[in-house]
Amino acid sequence: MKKSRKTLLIVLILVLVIAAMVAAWFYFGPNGVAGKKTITVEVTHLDGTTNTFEVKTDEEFLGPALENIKLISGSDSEYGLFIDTVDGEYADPEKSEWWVFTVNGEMGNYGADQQPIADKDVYAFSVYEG
Amino acid sequence: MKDSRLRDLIVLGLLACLMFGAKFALQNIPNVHLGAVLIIVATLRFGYKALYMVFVYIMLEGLFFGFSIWWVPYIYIWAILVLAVLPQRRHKSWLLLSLTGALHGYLFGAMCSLVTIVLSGLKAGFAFWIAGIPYDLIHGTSNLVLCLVLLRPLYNLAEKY
Repeated sequence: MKKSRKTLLIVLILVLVIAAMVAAWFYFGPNGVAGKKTITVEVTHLDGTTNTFEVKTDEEFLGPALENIKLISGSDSEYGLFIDTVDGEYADPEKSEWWVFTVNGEMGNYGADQQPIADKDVYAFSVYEG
Repeated sequence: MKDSRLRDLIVLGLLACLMFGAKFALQNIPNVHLGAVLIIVATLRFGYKALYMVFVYIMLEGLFFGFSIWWVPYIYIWAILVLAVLPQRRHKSWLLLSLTGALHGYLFGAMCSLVTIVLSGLKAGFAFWIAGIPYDLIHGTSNLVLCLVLLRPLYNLAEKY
Protein backbone atom coordinates (compact mmCIF):
# COMPACT_ATOMS: atom_id res chain seq x y z
CA MET A 1 0.00 0.00 0.00
CA LYS A 2 1.33 3.47 -0.84
CA LYS A 3 2.44 5.55 2.14
CA SER A 4 -0.11 8.31 1.40
CA ARG A 5 -2.94 5.77 1.25
CA LYS A 6 -1.75 4.18 4.49
CA THR A 7 -1.68 7.62 6.16
CA LEU A 8 -5.17 8.43 4.84
CA LEU A 9 -6.44 5.08 6.13
CA ILE A 10 -5.06 5.60 9.62
CA VAL A 11 -6.40 9.20 9.71
CA LEU A 12 -9.81 7.80 8.78
CA ILE A 13 -9.56 5.14 11.50
CA LEU A 14 -8.51 7.81 14.01
CA VAL A 15 -11.46 10.06 13.14
CA LEU A 16 -13.88 7.12 13.40
CA VAL A 17 -12.39 6.04 16.75
CA ILE A 18 -12.68 9.58 18.17
CA ALA A 19 -16.26 9.96 16.87
CA ALA A 20 -17.23 6.58 18.36
CA MET A 21 -15.66 7.49 21.71
CA VAL A 22 -17.42 10.87 21.91
CA ALA A 23 -20.75 9.29 20.91
CA ALA A 24 -20.31 6.47 23.47
CA TRP A 25 -19.47 8.99 26.20
CA PHE A 26 -22.58 11.08 25.52
CA TYR A 27 -24.85 8.04 25.13
CA PHE A 28 -23.55 5.75 27.89
CA GLY A 29 -21.53 8.15 30.11
CA PRO A 30 -22.57 9.25 33.58
CA ASN A 31 -25.36 11.86 33.75
CA GLY A 32 -25.86 13.85 36.91
CA VAL A 33 -29.28 14.99 38.09
CA ALA A 34 -29.85 18.54 39.32
CA GLY A 35 -31.69 19.30 42.55
CA LYS A 36 -31.47 18.60 46.27
CA LYS A 37 -30.53 15.09 47.37
CA THR A 38 -29.92 13.37 50.67
CA ILE A 39 -27.42 10.54 50.61
CA THR A 40 -25.95 8.24 53.25
CA VAL A 41 -22.21 7.71 53.47
CA GLU A 42 -20.84 4.85 55.58
CA VAL A 43 -17.11 4.82 56.29
CA THR A 44 -15.42 1.69 57.63
CA HIS A 45 -12.00 2.48 59.05
CA LEU A 46 -8.94 0.26 59.18
CA ASP A 47 -9.60 -0.58 62.84
CA GLY A 48 -13.09 -1.80 61.92
CA THR A 49 -15.06 1.14 63.35
CA THR A 50 -17.81 2.56 61.16
CA ASN A 51 -19.04 6.14 60.94
CA THR A 52 -22.26 7.03 59.12
CA PHE A 53 -23.00 10.45 57.66
CA GLU A 54 -26.18 11.87 56.18
CA VAL A 55 -25.21 14.36 53.47
CA LYS A 56 -27.55 16.93 51.92
CA THR A 57 -26.26 18.29 48.63
CA ASP A 58 -27.13 20.00 45.36
CA GLU A 59 -24.07 18.53 43.62
CA GLU A 60 -24.64 16.08 40.77
CA PHE A 61 -21.59 13.90 41.41
CA LEU A 62 -20.26 12.18 44.52
CA GLY A 63 -16.70 13.60 44.49
CA PRO A 64 -17.61 17.31 44.76
CA ALA A 65 -20.46 16.57 47.22
CA LEU A 66 -18.07 14.89 49.67
CA GLU A 67 -15.12 17.22 49.02
CA ASN A 68 -17.32 20.23 49.86
CA ILE A 69 -17.90 18.90 53.38
CA LYS A 70 -14.26 17.72 53.61
CA LEU A 71 -15.26 14.10 54.11
CA ILE A 72 -12.86 12.99 51.36
CA SER A 73 -9.68 14.40 49.86
CA GLY A 74 -7.08 13.30 47.37
CA SER A 75 -5.24 14.33 44.26
CA ASP A 76 -5.93 14.55 40.53
CA SER A 77 -4.83 11.47 38.67
CA GLU A 78 -4.99 10.23 35.10
CA TYR A 79 -8.38 8.71 35.99
CA GLY A 80 -9.81 11.70 37.86
CA LEU A 81 -9.90 12.28 41.61
CA PHE A 82 -7.71 9.76 43.43
CA ILE A 83 -9.12 9.53 46.97
CA ASP A 84 -6.46 8.95 49.60
CA THR A 85 -8.23 10.23 52.74
CA VAL A 86 -11.78 9.51 53.93
CA ASP A 87 -13.16 10.74 57.26
CA GLY A 88 -9.62 11.71 58.32
CA GLU A 89 -8.05 8.30 57.61
CA TYR A 90 -5.23 8.14 55.06
CA ALA A 91 -4.87 4.99 52.95
CA ASP A 92 -1.21 4.59 52.08
CA PRO A 93 -0.66 3.37 48.47
CA GLU A 94 2.90 2.41 49.42
CA LYS A 95 1.37 -0.15 51.80
CA SER A 96 -1.05 -1.16 49.00
CA GLU A 97 -4.00 0.43 50.81
CA TRP A 98 -6.74 1.95 48.64
CA TRP A 99 -10.09 3.52 49.45
CA VAL A 100 -12.91 1.85 47.51
CA PHE A 101 -16.64 2.49 47.63
CA THR A 102 -19.84 0.67 46.80
CA VAL A 103 -23.03 2.24 45.48
CA ASN A 104 -26.18 0.87 47.11
CA GLY A 105 -24.28 -2.30 47.98
CA GLU A 106 -22.69 -2.86 44.57
CA MET A 107 -19.26 -1.96 43.19
CA GLY A 108 -19.41 1.37 41.35
CA ASN A 109 -18.49 1.74 37.69
CA TYR A 110 -17.04 5.21 38.06
CA GLY A 111 -14.53 7.18 40.08
CA ALA A 112 -15.95 9.49 42.75
CA ASP A 113 -15.97 12.61 40.58
CA GLN A 114 -17.87 10.78 37.80
CA GLN A 115 -20.29 8.90 40.06
CA PRO A 116 -23.76 10.45 39.60
CA ILE A 117 -25.75 10.69 42.81
CA ALA A 118 -29.46 10.13 43.29
CA ASP A 119 -31.65 10.90 46.30
CA LYS A 120 -31.40 8.24 49.06
CA ASP A 121 -28.28 6.61 47.59
CA VAL A 122 -26.06 4.77 50.08
CA TYR A 123 -22.29 4.88 49.57
CA ALA A 124 -20.02 2.66 51.66
CA PHE A 125 -16.30 3.44 51.81
CA SER A 126 -13.74 0.92 53.05
CA VAL A 127 -10.02 0.31 52.68
CA TYR A 128 -8.97 -2.39 50.24
CA GLU A 129 -5.59 -3.91 50.99
CA GLY A 130 -3.64 -5.63 48.25
CA MET B 1 29.64 -7.27 18.73
CA LYS B 2 29.28 -8.11 22.39
CA ASP B 3 30.06 -4.49 23.23
CA SER B 4 27.31 -3.14 20.99
CA ARG B 5 24.75 -5.57 22.47
CA LEU B 6 25.77 -4.55 25.97
CA ARG B 7 25.59 -0.88 25.00
CA ASP B 8 22.09 -1.38 23.54
CA LEU B 9 20.93 -3.05 26.76
CA ILE B 10 22.32 -0.21 28.87
CA VAL B 11 20.73 2.47 26.66
CA LEU B 12 17.37 0.61 26.70
CA GLY B 13 17.53 0.36 30.51
CA LEU B 14 18.26 4.08 30.73
CA LEU B 15 15.39 4.84 28.33
CA ALA B 16 13.03 2.82 30.59
CA CYS B 17 14.21 4.90 33.57
CA LEU B 18 13.73 8.08 31.52
CA MET B 19 10.19 6.98 30.64
CA PHE B 20 9.47 6.31 34.32
CA GLY B 21 11.04 9.60 35.44
CA ALA B 22 9.25 11.61 32.72
CA LYS B 23 5.93 10.19 33.94
CA PHE B 24 6.71 11.57 37.41
CA ALA B 25 7.80 14.93 35.99
CA LEU B 26 4.52 15.26 34.07
CA GLN B 27 2.22 13.77 36.71
CA ASN B 28 0.53 17.13 37.37
CA ILE B 29 -0.82 17.06 33.81
CA PRO B 30 -3.10 14.00 33.88
CA ASN B 31 -2.58 11.56 31.00
CA VAL B 32 0.16 13.53 29.30
CA HIS B 33 3.41 11.58 29.25
CA LEU B 34 6.29 10.60 27.01
CA GLY B 35 5.66 6.85 27.10
CA ALA B 36 4.53 6.48 23.48
CA VAL B 37 7.19 8.86 22.12
CA LEU B 38 10.05 7.04 23.86
CA ILE B 39 8.78 3.58 22.92
CA ILE B 40 8.38 4.58 19.25
CA VAL B 41 11.90 6.07 19.18
CA ALA B 42 13.35 2.98 20.91
CA THR B 43 11.55 0.65 18.47
CA LEU B 44 12.79 2.60 15.44
CA ARG B 45 16.33 2.57 16.78
CA PHE B 46 16.56 -0.88 18.41
CA GLY B 47 13.77 -2.91 16.76
CA TYR B 48 12.26 -5.75 18.79
CA LYS B 49 14.83 -5.06 21.55
CA ALA B 50 12.57 -2.16 22.59
CA LEU B 51 10.60 -4.89 24.36
CA TYR B 52 13.47 -5.05 26.89
CA MET B 53 12.84 -1.38 27.67
CA VAL B 54 9.11 -2.07 28.03
CA PHE B 55 9.88 -4.95 30.40
CA VAL B 56 12.13 -2.79 32.61
CA TYR B 57 9.53 0.00 32.63
CA ILE B 58 6.62 -2.22 33.68
CA MET B 59 8.76 -3.84 36.38
CA LEU B 60 9.62 -0.36 37.71
CA GLU B 61 5.90 0.50 37.76
CA GLY B 62 5.13 -2.70 39.67
CA LEU B 63 8.00 -2.32 42.13
CA PHE B 64 7.13 1.29 42.94
CA PHE B 65 3.31 1.12 42.90
CA GLY B 66 2.57 -2.55 43.56
CA PHE B 67 1.77 -5.50 41.31
CA SER B 68 -1.99 -4.95 41.49
CA ILE B 69 -4.82 -5.42 38.99
CA TRP B 70 -4.22 -2.04 37.33
CA TRP B 71 -0.70 -3.23 36.48
CA VAL B 72 -1.76 -6.34 34.52
CA PRO B 73 -2.67 -4.50 31.24
CA TYR B 74 0.82 -2.99 31.20
CA ILE B 75 2.15 -6.48 30.42
CA TYR B 76 0.67 -6.30 26.90
CA ILE B 77 -0.34 -2.69 26.31
CA TRP B 78 3.14 -1.24 25.63
CA ALA B 79 4.25 -4.33 23.72
CA ILE B 80 1.34 -3.71 21.31
CA LEU B 81 2.83 -0.30 20.47
CA VAL B 82 6.23 -1.88 19.79
CA LEU B 83 4.58 -4.43 17.46
CA ALA B 84 2.64 -1.66 15.68
CA VAL B 85 5.81 0.35 15.05
CA LEU B 86 8.11 -2.53 14.01
CA PRO B 87 6.73 -2.79 10.42
CA GLN B 88 7.24 0.97 10.00
CA ARG B 89 10.98 0.88 10.70
CA ARG B 90 12.13 0.64 7.10
CA HIS B 91 9.96 3.33 5.51
CA LYS B 92 9.58 5.90 8.24
CA SER B 93 6.78 8.45 7.97
CA TRP B 94 6.77 10.77 10.98
CA LEU B 95 3.10 11.54 10.38
CA LEU B 96 2.15 7.86 10.22
CA LEU B 97 4.20 7.10 13.33
CA SER B 98 2.57 10.02 15.16
CA LEU B 99 -0.87 8.78 14.15
CA THR B 100 0.07 5.32 15.44
CA GLY B 101 1.06 6.87 18.79
CA ALA B 102 -2.19 8.83 18.88
CA LEU B 103 -4.30 5.74 18.10
CA HIS B 104 -2.53 3.86 20.89
CA GLY B 105 -3.46 6.67 23.31
CA TYR B 106 -7.10 6.82 22.17
CA LEU B 107 -7.46 3.04 22.53
CA PHE B 108 -5.50 2.81 25.81
CA GLY B 109 -8.61 2.49 27.99
CA ALA B 110 -10.24 0.00 25.60
CA MET B 111 -7.10 -2.16 25.72
CA CYS B 112 -6.94 -1.90 29.53
CA SER B 113 -10.59 -2.91 29.79
CA LEU B 114 -9.77 -6.38 28.39
CA VAL B 115 -8.47 -7.35 31.84
CA THR B 116 -11.69 -6.05 33.48
CA ILE B 117 -13.73 -8.05 30.94
CA VAL B 118 -11.83 -11.23 31.84
CA LEU B 119 -12.06 -10.63 35.60
CA SER B 120 -15.51 -9.05 35.96
CA GLY B 121 -17.40 -9.57 32.70
CA LEU B 122 -18.30 -7.63 29.57
CA LYS B 123 -20.62 -5.14 31.31
CA ALA B 124 -17.95 -4.12 33.84
CA GLY B 125 -15.32 -3.87 31.10
CA PHE B 126 -17.59 -1.66 29.01
CA ALA B 127 -18.33 0.59 32.02
CA PHE B 128 -14.59 0.80 32.74
CA TRP B 129 -13.91 1.91 29.16
CA ILE B 130 -16.76 4.47 29.17
CA ALA B 131 -15.58 6.00 32.48
CA GLY B 132 -12.11 6.53 31.02
CA ILE B 133 -13.10 8.06 27.68
CA PRO B 134 -12.35 11.73 28.60
CA TYR B 135 -8.88 10.67 29.77
CA ASP B 136 -8.31 8.56 26.65
CA LEU B 137 -9.19 11.57 24.49
CA ILE B 138 -6.58 13.66 26.34
CA HIS B 139 -4.09 10.79 26.11
CA GLY B 140 -4.50 10.29 22.35
CA THR B 141 -4.45 13.99 21.50
CA SER B 142 -1.39 14.68 23.68
CA ASN B 143 0.38 11.67 22.13
CA LEU B 144 -0.30 13.09 18.67
CA VAL B 145 1.12 16.51 19.56
CA LEU B 146 4.14 15.11 21.45
CA CYS B 147 4.94 12.64 18.65
CA LEU B 148 4.67 15.30 15.93
CA VAL B 149 7.01 17.59 17.87
CA LEU B 150 9.49 15.15 19.44
CA LEU B 151 9.76 11.98 17.34
CA ARG B 152 12.11 13.23 14.65
CA PRO B 153 14.56 15.16 16.90
CA LEU B 154 14.69 12.34 19.48
CA TYR B 155 15.21 9.72 16.77
CA ASN B 156 18.02 11.79 15.22
CA LEU B 157 19.60 11.99 18.69
CA ALA B 158 19.18 8.24 19.24
CA GLU B 159 20.80 7.50 15.85
CA LYS B 160 24.03 9.06 17.07
CA TYR B 161 24.46 6.34 19.72
